[in-house]
Amino acid sequence: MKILERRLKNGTRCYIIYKKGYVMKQAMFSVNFGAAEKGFVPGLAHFLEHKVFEQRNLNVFDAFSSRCADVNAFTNFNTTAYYFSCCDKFEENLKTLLDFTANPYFTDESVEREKGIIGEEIKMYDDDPWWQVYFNLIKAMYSENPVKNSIAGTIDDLGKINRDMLMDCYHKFYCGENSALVICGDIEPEKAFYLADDLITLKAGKKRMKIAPPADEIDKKLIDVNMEISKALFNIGFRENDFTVSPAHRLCTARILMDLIIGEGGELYGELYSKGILDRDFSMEYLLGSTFGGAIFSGISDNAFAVLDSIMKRINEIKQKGISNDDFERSVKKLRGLFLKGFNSIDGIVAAQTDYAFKDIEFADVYGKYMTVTRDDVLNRLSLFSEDNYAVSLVEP
Amino acid sequence: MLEIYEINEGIRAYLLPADKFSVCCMSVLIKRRLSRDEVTMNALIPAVLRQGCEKYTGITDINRAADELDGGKVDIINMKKGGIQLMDFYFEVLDNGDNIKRAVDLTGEIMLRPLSENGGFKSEYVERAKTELKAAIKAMKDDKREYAKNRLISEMFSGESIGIYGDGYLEDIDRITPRKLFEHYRRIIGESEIYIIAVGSFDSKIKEYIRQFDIGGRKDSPGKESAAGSGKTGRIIEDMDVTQGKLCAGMRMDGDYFTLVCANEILGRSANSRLFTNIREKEGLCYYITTSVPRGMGAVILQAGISGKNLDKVMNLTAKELSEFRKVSDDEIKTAKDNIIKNYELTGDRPQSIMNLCLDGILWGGGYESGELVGSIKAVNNEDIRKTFADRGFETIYFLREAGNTDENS
Repeated sequence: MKILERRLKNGTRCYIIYKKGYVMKQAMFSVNFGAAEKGFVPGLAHFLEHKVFEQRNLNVFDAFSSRCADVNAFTNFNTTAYYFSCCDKFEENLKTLLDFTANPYFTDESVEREKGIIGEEIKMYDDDPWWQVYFNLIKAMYSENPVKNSIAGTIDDLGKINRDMLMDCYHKFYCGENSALVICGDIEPEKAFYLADDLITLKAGKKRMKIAPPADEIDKKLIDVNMEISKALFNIGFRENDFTVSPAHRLCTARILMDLIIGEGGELYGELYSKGILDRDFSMEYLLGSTFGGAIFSGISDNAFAVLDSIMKRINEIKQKGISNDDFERSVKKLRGLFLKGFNSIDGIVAAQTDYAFKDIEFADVYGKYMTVTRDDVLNRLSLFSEDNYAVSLVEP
Repeated sequence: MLEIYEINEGIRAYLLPADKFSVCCMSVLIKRRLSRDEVTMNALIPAVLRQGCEKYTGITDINRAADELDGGKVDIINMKKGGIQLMDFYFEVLDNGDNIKRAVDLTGEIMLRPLSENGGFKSEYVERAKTELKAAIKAMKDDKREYAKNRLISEMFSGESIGIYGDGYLEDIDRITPRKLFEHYRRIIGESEIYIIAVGSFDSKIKEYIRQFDIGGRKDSPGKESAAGSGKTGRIIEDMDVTQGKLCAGMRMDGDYFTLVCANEILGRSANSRLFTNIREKEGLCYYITTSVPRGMGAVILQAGISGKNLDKVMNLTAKELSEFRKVSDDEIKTAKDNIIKNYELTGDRPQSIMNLCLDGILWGGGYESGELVGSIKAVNNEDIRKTFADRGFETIYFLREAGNTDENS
């Protein structure tokens, strides 16, 4: 695998990842503008994502489909991304992607119609207990950070959005200096770069200033809602408090420590599973943002507080006794292996590179960290898991 | 290049090496026909086996052994495909050092040498597995979209194998004893067809490793075919405290599978399908609307998230698209075929998709690899596609209706 990283003429960061022998070619164009943006109606970035597909004289879906390409988009905390995947006609598809994201055209009437579609999308998420438990956790973890905004907003928020607001945001955030293009597949990287550089028409625009994380605290220790489900879901999140170290360091050390606390190959998980407190649907992730972050444990349990209690006890045990070298080495080897496995999927590579693009992190940083991380690096991360630094989100029957 | 060979009668290996991957994925599958008599036991067994075997006696020992394979994934999955139930002993590991041999051996230990006591499975593990299965069956309601689909299929294929819930039935669980379950496992492992599918980065040494799955020849004993069904038609409406109604409708189809795949692509599979264009984009009635043709089912399944007040409108618009289907243009068909072919070709980039395609080929014929399927799609006659939905409609409609919409459509 080779990676070429360079700026296009308008400032767009361009990453080309060469994967020999793959049929799929994928390109993702993204802007550093998502739901976690202060001073806007919640859901604006996501609404704009829907409308950017609309063009004066082109049906974007038909254009891609006629060349057998799939096109889609998503909005998360910091990013709005548009992408296609295809087997051939990559050049024409890339041109369509870069053209449509540079030239949206939509009317007041079409904005109103979109409210119906997005309203149904919001309702779909309202019925998804896993979605609810996760985003409630983020809300609970932060008092100030706009990461607590919901991605699509509420039905009330939709009512406030109009065409002018959308166009203003488009002009402000959709520019070279605030965007990235990731291309992956069996494509000659230099050739792909010159192609993209030739095709890009988006204006250069202004660079956004880096924002420091706002002074923040845990907003609520617990958010507990009821839904028509069979068993309670929980998310437990410890809020990141150290933005002085590199993102790769934050990510790798937190993941290793989480695995040492309650990884599936550890005693604690086995014990909670045998007692019926935890199920097999248990997972852990480190949420990596430039101004936010968190170690999140999620699963199904009738007794989430017993899980929390066990996690806190295990943390205290590590604080007192440390970790054995065998356990440490096994966790590092496991997480490094999982990281490397990710490179078997073009979708995975493109999504990860897009995510990293606006967070000043590279694949090589993460791999390098997994090769050099020490036991002390990991033990130093114990401060993340303190008593006054977590929130719990529950969805109960 | 696909290599197929028989390890013993009824135990076949399907090897699909692809060195562009750095991982090796393998499934050892025990095939059963879905039957009401054994579905719950078959669903329970994976949850028992996962907790320990003779060599790795606890769940932590098994998980740790998997972790040590550079974060390998080792699992046992209960799977339903059409009217067939499969027990899938699956692993995925980086092709690094002796990971593959160790993963095959670990799978062999779990599958062939389970922990037993007093002539049965370890009772503690069976009890834990029962709790887990009960929770899984109850949790079927938690994913409303999937729940609506399961409910539709059970009603539409009521009395047939396809209509049986793949996770089994709550009322069966308490009757299962550790001994009865162990005997059942010994029986099915001794008589069922077994398929071993390996995909990804590996060399011919894998043939030595998998020889341990030669556990004696067997003739395919597919189990009893359920009696002809009494599938329900008409509307089934269930109320639930959800924000958005979940619609799932089914239309039984016989005839050529590949013709149906082409028709389905145009009707509702893609983002420029007729239903997506007219019901979502033009009318704004939903966020998702999609149709699918699951292998081994002989049906088109429609799914959409809509308001209860729009149910009639959505079904009428759908009926209109079906009745106008004979007017589908050659261009539309060409685009659809090209898209299907592309999607078949793309399966080659994902080990899991390659395995799925191969398994579909084993169970239902029509080819094991994308190349064969591409040929079948190219051969479909355009006129046959246009005729697919002539005088047809979705005969079974299941609707999970949201609260506050009881005044209409009842």
